Amino acid sequence: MSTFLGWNGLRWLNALTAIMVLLVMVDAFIGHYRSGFAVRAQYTPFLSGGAILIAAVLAGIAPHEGWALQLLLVTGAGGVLTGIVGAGYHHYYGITSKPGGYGWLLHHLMHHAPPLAPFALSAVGALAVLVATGLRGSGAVLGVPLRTAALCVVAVTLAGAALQATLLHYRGAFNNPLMYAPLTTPVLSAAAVPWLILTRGRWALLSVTVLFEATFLIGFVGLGMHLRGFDRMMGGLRVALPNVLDGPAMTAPALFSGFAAAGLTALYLL
Amino acid sequence: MSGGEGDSFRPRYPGYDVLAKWSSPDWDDQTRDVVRRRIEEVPPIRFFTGDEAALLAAVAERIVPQPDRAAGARVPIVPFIDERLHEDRRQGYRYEGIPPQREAWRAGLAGIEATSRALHGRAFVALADAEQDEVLRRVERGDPPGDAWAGLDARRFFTSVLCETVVKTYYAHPLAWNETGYNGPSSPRGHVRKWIGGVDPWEAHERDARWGTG
Amino acid sequence: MGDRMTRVADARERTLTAPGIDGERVPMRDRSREEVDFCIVGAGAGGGTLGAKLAEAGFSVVIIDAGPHWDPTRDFVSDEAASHPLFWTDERISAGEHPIELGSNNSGRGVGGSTVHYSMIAMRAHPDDFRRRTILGEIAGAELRDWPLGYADLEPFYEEVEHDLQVAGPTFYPWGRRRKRYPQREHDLNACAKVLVEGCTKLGIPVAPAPIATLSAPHRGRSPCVYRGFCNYGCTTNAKSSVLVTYVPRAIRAGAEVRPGCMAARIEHDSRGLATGVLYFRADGAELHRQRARNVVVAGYAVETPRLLLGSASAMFPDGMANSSGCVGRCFMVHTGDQVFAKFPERINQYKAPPPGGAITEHFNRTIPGEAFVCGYTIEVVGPHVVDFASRMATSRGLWGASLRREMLDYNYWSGLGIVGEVLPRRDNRVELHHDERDRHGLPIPRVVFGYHGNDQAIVRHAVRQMTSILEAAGGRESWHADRTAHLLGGCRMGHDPHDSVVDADCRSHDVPNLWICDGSVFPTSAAVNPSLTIQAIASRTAARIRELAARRELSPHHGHAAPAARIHPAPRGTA
Ligand SMILES: Cc1cc2nc3c(=O)[nH]c(=O)nc-3n(C[C@H](O)[C@H](O)[C@H](O)COP(=O)(O)OP(=O)(O)OC[C@H]3O[C@@H](n4cnc5c(N)ncnc54)[C@H](O)[C@@H]3O)c2cc1C
Ligand code: SF4
Repeated sequence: MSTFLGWNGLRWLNALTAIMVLLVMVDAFIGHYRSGFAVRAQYTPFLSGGAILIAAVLAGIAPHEGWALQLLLVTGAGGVLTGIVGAGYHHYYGITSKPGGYGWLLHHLMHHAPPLAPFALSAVGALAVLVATGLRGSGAVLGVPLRTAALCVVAVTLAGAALQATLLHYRGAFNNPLMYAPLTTPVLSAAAVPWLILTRGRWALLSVTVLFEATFLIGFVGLGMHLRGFDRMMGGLRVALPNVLDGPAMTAPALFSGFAAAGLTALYLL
Repeated sequence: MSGGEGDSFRPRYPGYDVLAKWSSPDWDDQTRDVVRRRIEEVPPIRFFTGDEAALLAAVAERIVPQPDRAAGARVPIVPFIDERLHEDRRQGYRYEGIPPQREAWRAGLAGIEATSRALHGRAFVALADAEQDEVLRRVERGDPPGDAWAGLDARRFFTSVLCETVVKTYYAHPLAWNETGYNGPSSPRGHVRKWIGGVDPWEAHERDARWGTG
Repeated sequence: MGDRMTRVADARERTLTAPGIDGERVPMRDRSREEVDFCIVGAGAGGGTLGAKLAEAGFSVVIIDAGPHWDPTRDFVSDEAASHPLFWTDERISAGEHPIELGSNNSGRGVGGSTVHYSMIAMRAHPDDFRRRTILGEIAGAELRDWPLGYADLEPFYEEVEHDLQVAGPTFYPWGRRRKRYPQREHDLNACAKVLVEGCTKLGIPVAPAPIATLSAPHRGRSPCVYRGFCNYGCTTNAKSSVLVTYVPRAIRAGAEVRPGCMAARIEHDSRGLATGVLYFRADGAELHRQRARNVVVAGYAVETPRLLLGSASAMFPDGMANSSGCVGRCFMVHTGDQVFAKFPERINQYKAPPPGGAITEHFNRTIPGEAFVCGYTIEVVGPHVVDFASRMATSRGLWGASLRREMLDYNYWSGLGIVGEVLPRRDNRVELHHDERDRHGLPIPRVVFGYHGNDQAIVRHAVRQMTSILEAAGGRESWHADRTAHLLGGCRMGHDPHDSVVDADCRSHDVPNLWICDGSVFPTSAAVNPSLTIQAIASRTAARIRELAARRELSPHHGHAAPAARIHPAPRGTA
């Protein structure tokens, strides 16, 4: 297994997992605080995410300790489940129980609990499971080679994130052309990954690499644009709280960078 | 009517003070300016005579009673009405049958006084609360005794001039905002939790979020 | 570039400045000494929109308005009581069987007109609304007329105005003709709107997001709505697409002069009966000023427009200008705006977000089978702030004394609905000049006479029942009803027949070919939707028609008589 700056692919993936779970929690906190933690279950992502974070840090410090890897595996699986259950909650509280119900589907999708957001925790949890499996010496999860599994997770997540972002950007009437960005390289990379897995060709590898790199950059551009977005709200950062709560999702674009980085790691270090 | 009145205004939002948000992003400079003037620069009486002002004060106290506040701590009503009449700031219309506002107020107050004397043989300010209410109710119904109301539609005067103005003056004051849990000014900071039951951290909070129990 | 060249070319020209929308000052041409192509009286929904379009088409334009030119970042306060300068507060007499509330209830004063404090609901009228007479026939006691233009004529202009205002609306709007998607997405609902949606859903009444002319996303340096809820007192955010922050800056940029603080007193005409300009008072002065113009447009809204025309009577036009039909001031209409409030077990906080809340139902905006009335109403959301709400409690519910204060403790638990109900035109409903009372300039004040047609009241009774059941279905209790009116319309209706209407479909008066009327007063019937989008679509259409007429040299009424005073050269800017 090749290394980069002294770390092998799994350790890099572990680090990315830790960073991304933090980002996911920041966004979840903003959203859940906005709604006033009206439902107790809204604390779950912080329990689950917090556990993954701790486990990933421990696994980063002690990558060869069995208990640390066991912890990472269990919390990762917990994250996957929490995300799925969370999506159910988002669906119920964001659509089913809202005035108008399914008759107002598009409205609820745009304005209430983001329907796909909880899956971000599932995705991070899946990475944690992969890392734990790999560090314990196994080359495959559920019979799928680690590299392939990681690429699949990345591809599905990028596609989902692009879909969620597009929905919210539609709500924002694509008021800036850059708001179409999630529909570009993230979607293309998600589409190119199966090509690479199926053909293993040089061109496929090159394309996926370039697309991941571009997505990595786009995530940072998005982060900057979202921060600028707060400033386009009345009062800008002077009225920080409501503008952060109602403005563009603060850390969401960074997930594109994070998962693109995870994809590159899987391509070259696993 | 009298007696327990003070009790029934038991604050629903204890500890809520709109003015505590004075320096928050809810208030911009221009709004601070008009509200500061409303609180600190209560205008002097320039239009009404002393008797008229005393009579209107007694009437206003029946329309929006403030027995829960000491005399000096009440929301001032007469000075703001007086200021409007002194400057002759109009409302954009008046119903036919009501003279221009200055005349209407003078005639209306005289009418209330005459009605009081016709019904009870005493000045309005000397009546007990219940008697004052009776006088006002007769005016409100449009059947006050005596001929003081010739040339002025008593019912319209009561509802669309007197009552509306007194009520609007009272509820324009931050003390009234506190008791109603009104958020008050809001610029540049707006609102996020707009849904049913939603309360932003900077809005009025109450002990018990359900009515019927308080 | 071209701009600078014309500036140099005209040595007499002085440059003024006007408030921009972000607290800055913007340069503006001074046209007080010119004979301009168009002098427009009133910078509101009609006048402001028309002025911008005409200026952009290359005409020289002056728009005068009686009120101030607001700086939205400094002049608007978050306070109900201190907002009275936004409203038309000059005295008017309200008379008739059902005299209406004027003042802050419906009339703005100042650049932007009533759109500075309107609630931004941006609705199109429906095809049938333009053909009431054809569809309903003769109705006793009413003077129904078809409009001289139809939905198809206005459709492209509706679209244009919706784009200019960046109306935020639903992806699919269930009523009316199929339409292009709104430029911006619908807003999130506030609690009052959720109540409407909840109640309607329970009762099986279709309900949809409301199209609202306030930004839901940033647009050209303007911030999106932050849901302050002070829309009726001026928007400090600049999210609200009032004429003040949309068309007026465009007009100024295109070379128009917007002159605030000028109250038009009369329209002047020459011996041929053509308008030659406008005489006006400055806010502070007693002497008359003159703005010379080749065309005059009156856009002062449904009370001031007839008042100005009637007040411009002369030996040649003894009944007022453009009034040979006797229609000026007649068939004045309102919308019924009755409201129902109910108390809810949870916090509503009706002051939050724009008062229309974000939801609407046009389900009853049609002649309902089995009912004893024709036409219908739209149900919308209302959200009065505390002063306004208390005054409704006092005047509509008759509450005062301790019971008022006690009820007001529950202010945050009330939620309300209101209608825009169709009102049939009646000839006796009118705006006329008061026989002896004068305003501070010595001009006769208007007397507004109004009484409902039985049909209007039947609509209201139906609507109040429906609103009550919607609120109750959503869990509300103790409901009560406040009778109100909204929106002023008619008084100078448009039509084909010069004996039966004041202006034609192009808003050009039948009697005086260079006198135009472009505001809510041209409506022949009222249509049960909020009017300003239609007013603005008509203004846009009029601008387009004026361009066409000018290009065909049909604008000049005395074409061929070599009367330069009435000739217009719509030279694009910069080619001079
Ligand atoms: C509280 C409220 C809410 C509303 N909400 C909505 C809504 O949600 N949707 C909607 O479609 N409509 C709404 N309206 C109605 C809408 O604002 C008006 O119908 C529309 O603005 C009328 O346009 P206008 O051009 O006829 O007149 P205005 O916009 O009122 O403009 C008239 C202008 O002319 C000026 N003027 C008048 N006379 C003279 C004179 N002699 N000399 C100089 N200047 C003069 C006035 O100062 C004023 O600025 C609302 C109105 C109110 C009051
Ligand atoms: S609610 Fe929106 S449109 Fe209304 S005043 Fe506030 S920011 Fe402006």
